[in-house]
Amino acid sequence: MSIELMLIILLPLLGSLFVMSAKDNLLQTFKNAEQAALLVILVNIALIFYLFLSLSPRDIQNGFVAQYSWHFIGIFDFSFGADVLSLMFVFGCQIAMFLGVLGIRREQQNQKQILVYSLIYLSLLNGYFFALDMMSFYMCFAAQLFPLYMLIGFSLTERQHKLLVRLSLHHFLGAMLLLASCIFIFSLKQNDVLLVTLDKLHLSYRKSIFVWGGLFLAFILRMPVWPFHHATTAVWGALKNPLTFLALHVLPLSGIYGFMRCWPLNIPFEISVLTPLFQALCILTMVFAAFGSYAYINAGNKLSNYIFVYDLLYFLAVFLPTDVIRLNISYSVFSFLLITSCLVVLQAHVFRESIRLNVGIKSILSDMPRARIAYCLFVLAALGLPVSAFFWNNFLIVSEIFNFHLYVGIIVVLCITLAGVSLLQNMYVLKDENSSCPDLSDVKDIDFTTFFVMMGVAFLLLLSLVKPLWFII
Amino acid sequence: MIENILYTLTETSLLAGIAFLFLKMFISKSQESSSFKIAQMFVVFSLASAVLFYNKGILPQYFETSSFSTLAYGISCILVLVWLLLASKWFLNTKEQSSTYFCILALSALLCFSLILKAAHFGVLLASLSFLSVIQYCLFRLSKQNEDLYHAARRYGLISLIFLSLFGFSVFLLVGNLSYTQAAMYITEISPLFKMLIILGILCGIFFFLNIAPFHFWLTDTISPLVLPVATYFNIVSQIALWGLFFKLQTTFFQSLNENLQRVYFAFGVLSIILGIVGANASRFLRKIFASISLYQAGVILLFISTLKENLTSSCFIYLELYLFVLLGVYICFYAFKINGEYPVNLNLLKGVSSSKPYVSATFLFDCVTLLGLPPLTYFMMQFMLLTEIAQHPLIIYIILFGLLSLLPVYLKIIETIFFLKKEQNFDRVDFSFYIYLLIHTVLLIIFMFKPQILLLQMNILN
Repeated sequence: MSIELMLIILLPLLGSLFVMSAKDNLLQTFKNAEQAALLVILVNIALIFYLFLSLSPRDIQNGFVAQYSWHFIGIFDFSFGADVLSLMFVFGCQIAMFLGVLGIRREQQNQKQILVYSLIYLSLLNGYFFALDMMSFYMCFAAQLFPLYMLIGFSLTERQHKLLVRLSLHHFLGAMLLLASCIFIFSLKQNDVLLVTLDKLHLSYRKSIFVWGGLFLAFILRMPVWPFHHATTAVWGALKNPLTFLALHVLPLSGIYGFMRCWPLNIPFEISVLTPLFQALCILTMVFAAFGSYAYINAGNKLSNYIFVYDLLYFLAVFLPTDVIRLNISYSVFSFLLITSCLVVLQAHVFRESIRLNVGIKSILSDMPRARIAYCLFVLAALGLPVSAFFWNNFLIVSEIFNFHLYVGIIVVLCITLAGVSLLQNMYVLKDENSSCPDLSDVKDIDFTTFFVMMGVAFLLLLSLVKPLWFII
Repeated sequence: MIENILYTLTETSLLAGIAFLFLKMFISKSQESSSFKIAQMFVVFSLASAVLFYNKGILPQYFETSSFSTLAYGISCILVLVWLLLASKWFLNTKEQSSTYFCILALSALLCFSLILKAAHFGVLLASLSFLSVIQYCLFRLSKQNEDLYHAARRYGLISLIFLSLFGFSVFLLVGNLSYTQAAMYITEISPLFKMLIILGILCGIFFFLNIAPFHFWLTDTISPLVLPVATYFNIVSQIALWGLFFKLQTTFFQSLNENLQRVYFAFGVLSIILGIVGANASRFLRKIFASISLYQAGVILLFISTLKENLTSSCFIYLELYLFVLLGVYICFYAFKINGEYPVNLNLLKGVSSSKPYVSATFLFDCVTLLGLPPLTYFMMQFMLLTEIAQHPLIIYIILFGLLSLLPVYLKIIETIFFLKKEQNFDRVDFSFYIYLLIHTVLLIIFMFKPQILLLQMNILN
């Protein structure tokens, strides 16, 4: 069982070595590199299915299906394991990256480098989601930042690099704080500090402030919560490359996963004083993001704000003093990742075409039948209509928020609705066939492969409606 | 008698090498590159004899040969060998005529390191440091083309004279108790004023040679115009021996004064970290950036020492060794980047170099990321182990980590310039041997990453 875990973590890394060895600036070599990347991710998806199939109903609730200890560093023992929670996150990330790789087919610049770093990033993400002990968790948490920095750096223009430095400073500050927490934890116990036993550590008052405060801020810094939101949203707005956008999109979700894994149900007193403040900040940011999407004409910004609102919803959910909806959060994040990945790829295609033909994006979808179908489908799914899997899980999450605080629940529902309506507005602009527009006969539709993959994703979402883990039994 | 001669082979072989090269300089007009080979040969011989007689020595009242001094000297020899190798390429490229003279200086510096590391007597130490100052002055004046360097060398000469005088005055105040153990006992018996004066003089003298803030300006401000081999010497080669001296004094002479020195180390450490960060962030000159990063690292080591934790000096020594090894990789890249035969000093000149020199740039990136302390690279492992050791000092941990974070914009600036900006210059072809050096360096770093025990094996020697 352990070999599958190791393969899921290491295969993208090996794939990146293969892509790295390809020659530069040749269309054929890019095709080879792209196919290698797609193959690696497909194998990973197959392995994840295999791991899911080995789940028993008892495991679905809390058991680990696979565990692997890695002694290769010699000083620390790294433990990796998989449960439903981590598998759902990993599965979502693989599909998002798969779609991202398909989305950069027509990109002109730095394709090879972006593929290399995205595969390294994926490998570290998988390691992060599978980490069982504190050391491997921290290592993957911090190491992700380097490929992410390179990915974004290759995708931004010279003028936008200042944004990247600011963003990296946020992220590295989080990594340093987590490192400080790790140091304090390791000074108590030299090795094998498992994430599940973190809340059982006996810490002195001062150390518990350092440990829990460090963990809290480390994950918060990955979230677009005010006052840390500006750099993330600015870079989101500037990114045109779908694969890079998706890589950055996963980062706040990794923060949410961190809270789900490490944060004890009973928040330590030392930090609990601060949590209402952060919850208030989170709600405030959510309201601004929801209303902010109406201030933008740019469709990309509207989608960014939609993602922003949902990230904050999950953030609020993980802070609820209950763990009954933990699996629902992971199911919802899975659907959310799938939906947003498709929308990001479609929007990137639309922008690329509008820039190539030097026309606006208004009614551009009218001459792209495949893209139009996919776009409508995924916007409707993103709205969270009652017939989608996304809806049922969000319904449970929002119910819990209502249970926790009525007014907070009302605000959250309002924000989700506003964000969804802004996407509808977006769709209307893109496919409005009545408005006058320049000649779009030269416009290229999304290719068949991408379209079929998207339909496959839609099918996956449809099956999830019936039962989130339909593929297990 | 023969035994004594054998035990001094480490030094006599270097002296023989110096004499041979002097003769060559005056008599023979043969190929200059042969000087490097001769010098390397004598260094290897010296290293071999040091290892062979690792615990043997003469004049025990003046010199003490221990496994620690042999280890530090051995690493210094290896660094000098690599330095000579790199410098030979530089001399070949620039057609400078002074290569034999340079080799003499290199061997003389190594001789000084040997004496400094073995010294157990303040008189010998003072003489060795004075000799080293003269050599360093000559290294400053190596390139006669640059007028700035002439002034820098004069300034260095003057400042080193002041610090050596301070050191000498402290030695004078020891009134004949010049061996480390005698001095350590004597200092506990004298009045606090005398004690303070003695410590101040010795510590300032050593901190001056170690480029610790605020005595670092002589180097960080002048490192950019220096010729590349000399910059390599000051930033890398001299460091192991001088830190070795500091660690030796820490466990002998300063041992009884640790309680008093704790705050002094902390203050100097924090100041070095702050000035290192400011210097690195404010500069666009590559060598100055890395000299400032070295200043930060010196501050970090002083902070570790200030915790007075047992056996931490040996871990600090390995940490320093690893840092210098990574820095060596950075300097190999400096030797590899050339524009029309000139070695770029300003970071702006390296814009987009990754597109034409991908392998060298990738190694440079790997070294920068390693220095950034990103896991699971070796440097992180060492740093993590040291930080875990001092977990009861959260303030120091946060100072070190936030210092590292403050250096982040510097590394990002370097990566951005090399990888994301458009190429503006045409770079010369890279000598094939640099690829081999870089490959060996990277492979070793990767081995240390997977097997950090290799580095930690030294703990047995150091403790």
